[in-house]
Amino acid sequence: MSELTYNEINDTVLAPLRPPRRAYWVVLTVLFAGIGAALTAWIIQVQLGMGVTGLSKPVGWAVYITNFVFWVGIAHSGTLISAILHLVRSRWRTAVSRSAEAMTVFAVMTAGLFPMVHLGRVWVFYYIIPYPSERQLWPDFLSPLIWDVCAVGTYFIVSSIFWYVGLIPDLAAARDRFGASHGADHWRTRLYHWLSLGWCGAASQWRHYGRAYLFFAALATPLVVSVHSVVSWDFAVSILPGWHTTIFAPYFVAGAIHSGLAMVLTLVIPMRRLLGLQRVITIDHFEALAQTMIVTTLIVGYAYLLEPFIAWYSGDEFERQFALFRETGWIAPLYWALPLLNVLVPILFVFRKVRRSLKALFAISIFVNIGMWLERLVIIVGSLSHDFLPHNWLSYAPRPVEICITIGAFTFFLFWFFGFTKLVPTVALSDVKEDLLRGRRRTMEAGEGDGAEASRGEVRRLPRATPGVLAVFKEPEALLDAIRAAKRAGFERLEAYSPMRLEAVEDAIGRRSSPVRYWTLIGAVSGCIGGFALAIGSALVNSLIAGGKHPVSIVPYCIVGFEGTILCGTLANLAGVLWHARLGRPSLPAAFDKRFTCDRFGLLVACEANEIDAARSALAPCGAEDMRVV
Amino acid sequence: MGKLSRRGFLRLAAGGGGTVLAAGWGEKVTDRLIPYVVPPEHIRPGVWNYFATTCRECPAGCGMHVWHRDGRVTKVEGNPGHPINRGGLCARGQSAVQGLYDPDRIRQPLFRPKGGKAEPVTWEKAIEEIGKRLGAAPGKVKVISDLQNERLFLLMSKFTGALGSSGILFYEPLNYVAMYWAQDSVFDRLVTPDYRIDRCEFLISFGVDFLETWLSPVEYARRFAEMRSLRDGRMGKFVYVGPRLSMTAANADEFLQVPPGAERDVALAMLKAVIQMRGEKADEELRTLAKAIPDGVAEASGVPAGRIAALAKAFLEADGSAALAGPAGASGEVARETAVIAALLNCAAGRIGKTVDLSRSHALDLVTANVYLKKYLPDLTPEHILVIHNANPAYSYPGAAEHLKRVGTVVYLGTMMDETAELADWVLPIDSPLESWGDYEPRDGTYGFMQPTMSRLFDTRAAGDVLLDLAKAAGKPLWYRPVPEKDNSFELWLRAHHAIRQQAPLAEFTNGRWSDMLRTGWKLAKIDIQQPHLQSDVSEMKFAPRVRPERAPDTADLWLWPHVFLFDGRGANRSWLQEAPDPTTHIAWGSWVDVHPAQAKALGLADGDIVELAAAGAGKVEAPVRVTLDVCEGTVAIPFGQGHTALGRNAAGRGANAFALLGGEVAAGTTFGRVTIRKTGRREEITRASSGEQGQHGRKIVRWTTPAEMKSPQAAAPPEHYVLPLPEGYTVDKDLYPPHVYPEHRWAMVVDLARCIGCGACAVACYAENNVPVVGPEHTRRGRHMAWLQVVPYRDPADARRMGFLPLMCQHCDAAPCEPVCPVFAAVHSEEGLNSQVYNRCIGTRYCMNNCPYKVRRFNWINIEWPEPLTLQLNPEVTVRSRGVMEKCTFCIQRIRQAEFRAKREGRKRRDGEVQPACAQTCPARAITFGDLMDAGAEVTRLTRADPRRYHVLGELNTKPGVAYLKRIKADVINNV
Repeated sequence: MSELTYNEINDTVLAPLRPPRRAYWVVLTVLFAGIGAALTAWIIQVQLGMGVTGLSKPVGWAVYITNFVFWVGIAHSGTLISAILHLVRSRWRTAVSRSAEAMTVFAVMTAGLFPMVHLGRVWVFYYIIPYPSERQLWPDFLSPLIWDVCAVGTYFIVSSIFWYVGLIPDLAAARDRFGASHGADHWRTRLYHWLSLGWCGAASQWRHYGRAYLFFAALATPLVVSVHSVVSWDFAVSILPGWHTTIFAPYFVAGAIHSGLAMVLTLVIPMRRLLGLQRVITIDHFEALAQTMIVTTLIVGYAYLLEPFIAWYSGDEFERQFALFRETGWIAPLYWALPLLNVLVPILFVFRKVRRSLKALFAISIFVNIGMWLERLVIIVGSLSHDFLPHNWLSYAPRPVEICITIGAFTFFLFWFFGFTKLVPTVALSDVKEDLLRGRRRTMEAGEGDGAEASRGEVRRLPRATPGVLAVFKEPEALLDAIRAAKRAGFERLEAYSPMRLEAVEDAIGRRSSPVRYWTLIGAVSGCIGGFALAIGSALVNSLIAGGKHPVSIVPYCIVGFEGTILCGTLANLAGVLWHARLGRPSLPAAFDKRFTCDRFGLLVACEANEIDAARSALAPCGAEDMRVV
Repeated sequence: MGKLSRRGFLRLAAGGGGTVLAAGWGEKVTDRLIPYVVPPEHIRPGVWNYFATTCRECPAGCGMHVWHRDGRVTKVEGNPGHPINRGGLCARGQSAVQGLYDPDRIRQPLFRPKGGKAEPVTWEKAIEEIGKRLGAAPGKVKVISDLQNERLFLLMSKFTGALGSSGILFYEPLNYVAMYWAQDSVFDRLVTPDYRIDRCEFLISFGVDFLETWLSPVEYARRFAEMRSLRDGRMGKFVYVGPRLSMTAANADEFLQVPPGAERDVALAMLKAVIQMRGEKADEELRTLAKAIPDGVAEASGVPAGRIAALAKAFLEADGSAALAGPAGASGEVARETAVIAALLNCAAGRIGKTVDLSRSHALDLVTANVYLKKYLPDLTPEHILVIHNANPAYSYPGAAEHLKRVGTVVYLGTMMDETAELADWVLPIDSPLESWGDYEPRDGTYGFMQPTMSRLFDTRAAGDVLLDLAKAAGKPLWYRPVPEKDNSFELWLRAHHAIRQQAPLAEFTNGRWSDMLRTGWKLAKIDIQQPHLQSDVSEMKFAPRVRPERAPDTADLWLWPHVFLFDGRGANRSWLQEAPDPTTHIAWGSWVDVHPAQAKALGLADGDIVELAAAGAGKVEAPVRVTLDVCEGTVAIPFGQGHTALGRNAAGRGANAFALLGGEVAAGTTFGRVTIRKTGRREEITRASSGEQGQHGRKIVRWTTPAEMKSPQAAAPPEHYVLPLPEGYTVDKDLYPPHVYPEHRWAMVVDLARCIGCGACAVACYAENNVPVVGPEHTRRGRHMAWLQVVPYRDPADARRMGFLPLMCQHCDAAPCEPVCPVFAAVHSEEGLNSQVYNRCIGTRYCMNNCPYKVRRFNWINIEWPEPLTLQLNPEVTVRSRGVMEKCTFCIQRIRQAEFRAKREGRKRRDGEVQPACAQTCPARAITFGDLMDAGAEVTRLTRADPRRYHVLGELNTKPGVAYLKRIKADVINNV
C-alpha cells in the first residue's frame, strides 16, 4: 500500500462509483425479484395466518427468529471493526471498516424485518413501541422482547449514525471528484454535495469530528457487546432446557462476531475483486480478519464443549435429557454440524497458508456463515421441540413461505449492499490516507513550543468569506512548517485544510480539545435517567403484575437505562459535531479548493489587505505549490 | 375491492399501505345485534336460560340442561339432579349441540325417484304421496328405528298396527344382546343387568370397555370413580382381561392381555375356582356345572393358573365384586358364552341383588339382535314400505344396503343425509332431539322427558308428527277419538298419554304436573321387583375348552372396539368429536389398526403403512397401522365409528368402517373372527393431537400411590416442590420478588387423578363453552390442536400397561413464566389469581407459549371458519379469537363472573362450588374441584393443604401453579395364591 499516492487512493476507491455495467443491473434485478417473492410470501402469511409456516405448538419460533439472531449477529463485526479497533488503534481495520459498517447497517435492517415477519398480528406491531397511547397502556419493560426492541433499535440508529459520520469526509471527496469530472450540476455531484453536509476538511472541522468520532466509538463499543447479549437473553431468561443458561451472553456475542467476520470475508473478497480494490484492501487485511476469527472460533468451541458438560454437571434431569436429545434426537445431524462448521473448519486459520489464501478464506467464511445460521436454528428449535412434558415434543421443518422469506432476506441484504458499492465510497478514504501517512513517517512530531503556542488560542472556525492568503501544499509536513512560520510572523487566525485528520496540525494551530464532549456527556446522562424514568414511570402507570414480579422491577430496567444512555449520548454527540463543525450547510468557504479532499493540504492565513505581502513572505520558504489571495 | 365501507376507509386511512391491505380485507361487518325484533316472552336478551331434556346420543338416557341465550342453544350440560348422570355428561352428550347445528343437516324434505337424483318437495306433497301408498298397501309397512321405548314407541306400534303390520325393529348397531340373553339363560329373565360397581371392592371386566361406551358410560364412570376412591384406606381393585389396552383397560390395576376369545377361558377358569372355593356353600347346580369344567381351561390364554386362582379368591372374598362381560357389538358364540360365565360368576359369588341388579329392565332390552335383522331384511320385498327412523343400517349392517335397494318404498326419517338416507326414496328431515318433544325410560322407573329447546332451524318436523300425519293421510288416524287438525301433534300425544298415566284431566295436568315434569326433566317411579333366582338347568350347561384354529402369519384375530367419541358412528360428522383425541393413543380424525410389533415385523409393517383387513365372508377395510404392544400378539384392533361414505363433510371418506368386518363367519374361539392382513404399499400419516410420547422419562408427571403407601408415615410429610400460589408460598431463599397478595379471591383447581378415567368429556365441554376452534386433521397433525384442555395419557413407569390421564389446562401459575415475557401485557395476572390473556392486546409473538413449561397456550395459526349454522352455537360471553392471537384456558372466567353476578343480585357471598368451569361441570367422574383458595372453608383449600396425594406437575420449576393434582391410586397388588 505504501506505493500508493493519495490521489491513487482516491482514484481506486472512487472509481467504482462510475455508472454500472449491465451485469450489475441484472444482479440487482434478480435480487429485487427475490425481495418481491419474499414480500408476496409474507402477504400470504399475513392473510392466511402463521399456519402457512412450519411452526407449531411447541415450536413457536424457528426460521424467522433464527434469521433475526443471525442477522443481528452479522451486524456485530462492522461496529466491532470500526469502534473497538478504532479505540485500540488497530491499524488493519481501515481497509475493511467501511464495508463492514455498511454490512452492519444492512444486516440490522434485515434483522429488524424478522420480528415483524414473525408476529401473529403484525398490523398491531406498534403496541410494542413505548409511546403515550390513549389506551394508557405501556409495553412491559420486563419482557426480553422489549429489550430487543430497545437494543436493536438503538444499535440500528447508532451504527447508522456512526457509519454516516465516518462517510462524511469521503462523500466530500466524491463530491469534489465528480464536481471536477462531471460538473457541478451532475446528479451525483449534487447528491454528494448534499450528503457531505458542507465538509471541507478544515482543521476546525477535523478537530470536532475527530473527538466526536472517538465518542461514537466509545459509545458503540459497549453497545456491540450488549446487543447480542440482550438478544441472547430472549432465550436465557426463559425457562427452557438449553435456553436457560448463563453462558449465553458471551457465547452469543462471540458467535455474533464470529459470523460477522465471516460475512465480512464473504462480502469483501468478491467486492474487492469486482471493484478493483486489490491495492487498497490487501491480503494482510484478510489475514488480520482471519486471525481475529481464531479467537472467536476458540470461544465458540469452548461454549460448545461447556454446554453439554454443564448439562451433565448440573445433575438436572431435564438438562441432561435435553443434551442427549441434541446429540441423538432428530436434530442431531444439525447439532453435530455445528462444531464441524464453526470450529473445526475455521480453526484451520492457525495455518498461515490458509489465512493468506483467498479461496480458502472465502470457502471457510461460507462454511461459518452456514454453520452459524444452523447454530441459531439448533438452539431455537431444539429447545422448543423437546421441553418439559414429553407429549408436547414435536419436530419441525420449514415450509415454503419460510424458505422464501429467508432467501428474500439474503437478497434484501445483498440488494442494499450492491447499492452501497455503487453509491458511496467502499473504503474509508481519509482513514486510509491517515494510515498511509502514519506508515510513511511513524509520527508527525509536534514541533517544540507548539504546546505553548496552542495555549494561546484554539483551532477556530473562520467566517466563510474570510480574506487572506491561501497556500497549497503537497505534503503535510510543509503545511506544518507553514503554520509554524505563519505563527512566528504573528498571524493567529489560521485555517488548515487536509484530506485526513492531522492532529499535529491542530496542535500547531491551537488547542484541539472539543466542546462536543459536553454534549455527549449530557446526552448520555439524560438518556440514562430517561431510560429508567420511562421504564419505572410506565410500570407505575400500568401497575400490572406479570409473572409474580413486582410491577416495578429495577434489575431489568438497567437494560433500558443502558440503551437510553447510548442512544441519547450518540444523538447528542451527533448534534454536537454538527453544530460545532458547522455541518449541515452545503455551501463551502471561499478558500476551499477541490484538491483538499484528495491529495493537497491548504493553509489559509487570514489577513487584511495590507497584511497580504507579509503573509506571502512568511509562507514563501515553506515550499507551497501554489499560493493565492482569497 | 368492491364498495369502500366506512370501516374499510378508516382502516385504509389509519395505517400505511400493504400491511393494512394484507391484514384487514375480507372481514365482515356484523349487521344484526339481536336475533329478534319482538322477542318471545321467556327470552330476555343477554340472560341465560335453560331447558331440561334427555340426551339421545346413546341408549343411556342421561338428563340434560340445555342452555340458551337469546333464543339459541349454545351449550348442553348434565342435569345435576338426574339419577343417571347427576350433572355429568360425556363428550358425545356435549356434542349434541353440534348435532343440532350440523351444517350438513337435511334442511327440507326430498324425494328421490327410482334411479334419479333427490329433489326437494313440500311436506304436504310428501305426506300425501306416502300416505296414499301406505293406505294402498295394508300389512306391508315395516319400521326400523333407533331405540325408543316410551310414547314414540307406542306411536310406532299404533302406526304399524293401524296399517295392519307388526314389524317394528329397534336397531342399535352396538348392542348388548349377548348379555341379556345370558341373564335369560342363567336366571330366566331377559334383562340387561345394572352393575353397581360403586359398591365393589373387586371388579373384573372381560373385554368390556364400560368407561368408554357400553350401557351407560356417564353412570358407570361415576360409579367407577366412587369405587376407586379411598374409603378408610381401602379402594376397589379393577382387573381387565382382554386383548387391547383400551381406556378402560388402562384404568385397571392389572391388565391381563389375552387374545380375543381367551377372555372366555379366563372367566371359565375363574368360575371353576370360585365355585370350588365356595365348596359346600355353592349352589348345587353350580357345583355340578363346575365339575364339568375341565382343568386348565385357560392354559391357552397365557394367564398362569396361580394368577387366576388369586383373582378368583379376590373376587370371592371382596366385600362386593362384579364380573362384566359382553363387549359392544359382539354377538358371536364366544361373546354369548362369556356373558353367561360372567353371570354365573356373579351368581356364584353371591352378588345378585348386591352389586348386580337384575330387578329392573333396561331400555336396551328392546333392542333387536342382529340375528333377527338377518331374517328381517331379506323378507323385505318391492311391495313393502319401509320407514326408517334415525337408524343407519346401510352403514353399520353389512349387506343392508342391498336389501334396502330392493324395498319398494323407503321412507327415511332422520336429521342427517347418511348412507341409509342416500338409499331412501323419501327423505323426511325430522327435528334434532334438542328440538323435539319426547320421553325415554332408560331403566324401569326412571323417566326422562324431552322438550324442544329452541325453535326449528330448518324445515323439519317431529318424527311423531310425521307418523301421525302419515297415518292420517293413509286414512288410519291413530287417535282414539278425532282431534282437530292443529292438535294432530306428537306433543299432544305425549302430554295426553302422560295425563292418562297420571289419571288427571289434560288441562289441569298441562298446567300443573306436566310443567313440573318438564322443569325437572325426569321422574322416578317406585318399582318393586324381586331379584331372580338361578335356573336349575344351568347345571346342564357344558363349557368345552375352546380350540383356536392355527393362525397363518398374515392373519390375525380381530378385535373391534367402539370409539369413545364416535361410538357407532352417528356423531362422526361432529367436528368436536373428530378432533377430540382418542384417550389412550391421542389419535384424532381417522381410523387406525393396532398391530403387535411381532406381527408387524413379520409382515414388514411400520407405523402409517396402510393395510387391508379382509374378514372371511364379510367386507374389507383399509387403514394405517399403529405398531403397538397395547394389542395382543396375533390380534389386530380397529375402532368403530369412521369410514362413512355419506353423513357430511367431516365424516364422509374418512377412515375405515369397521362394521364392514362384521357379519361373516366368526372363527371358533374368537370374539370377532379372523382377518387377513395385506400390506397395500401406501402410507398415511396418523393424525395425533400430541406427540404420542407416553413415557415419562423419569419426570414424575403423573404420579401413582397405593393404599399401603398412603398409610405409611411418609404420606403425611409435606410434598416436595409444592408451593401454593399464595403469600404463604413465598420463600426468602427462592423468591427474588416480594409475595403476591390477593385482595379477595385466588381461584384454583384440584384434579383428582385417581378419579379421572380419561374420557375427554371435559375437553369437549371446553370446546363448547369457550368457542374453541376446530382446526382439522392437517393442522392437528402439525401441532396446532387448539384444545384448551387436553387429557394427556402417560404410562406408569412401573408398568406400561397402566396409564394415568392428566387433564392439562392452563395452570394459572402465580409466578407464571408466560407473563413477564409478553412485551405488551397481553398475558397478565388478574387480581383474582387468574392468568389472563387479553386477546385484543396480543400481537402474536408466541413467546408466552414458548416459555410455558406445560405448553397449554394455544396460538391461532389460521383463520377459522365456522360453517353456518355452527356459528349459532358460539357462546356470546366468550370472544371468538382471530388469527394471530394466543389463547388458553381462562378457568371459565365468564362463569366466575356469572356466579359473582348471581350472588350480588341475591345479596350474598359466593358459595364454594358455585363456580364450576365447564370441565368440572361435565366430568362424569367428578375429578375436578374448583374454588377459591382464599376461602378457608373451600374444598380446594382443604385439598391443596391437607390431601396427602397433592402435588404440582413440574413443581420443581417453582411456577406456583394454581392447579394441584392428586396422585393416582393403584390398588395394592393381589398376591398369587
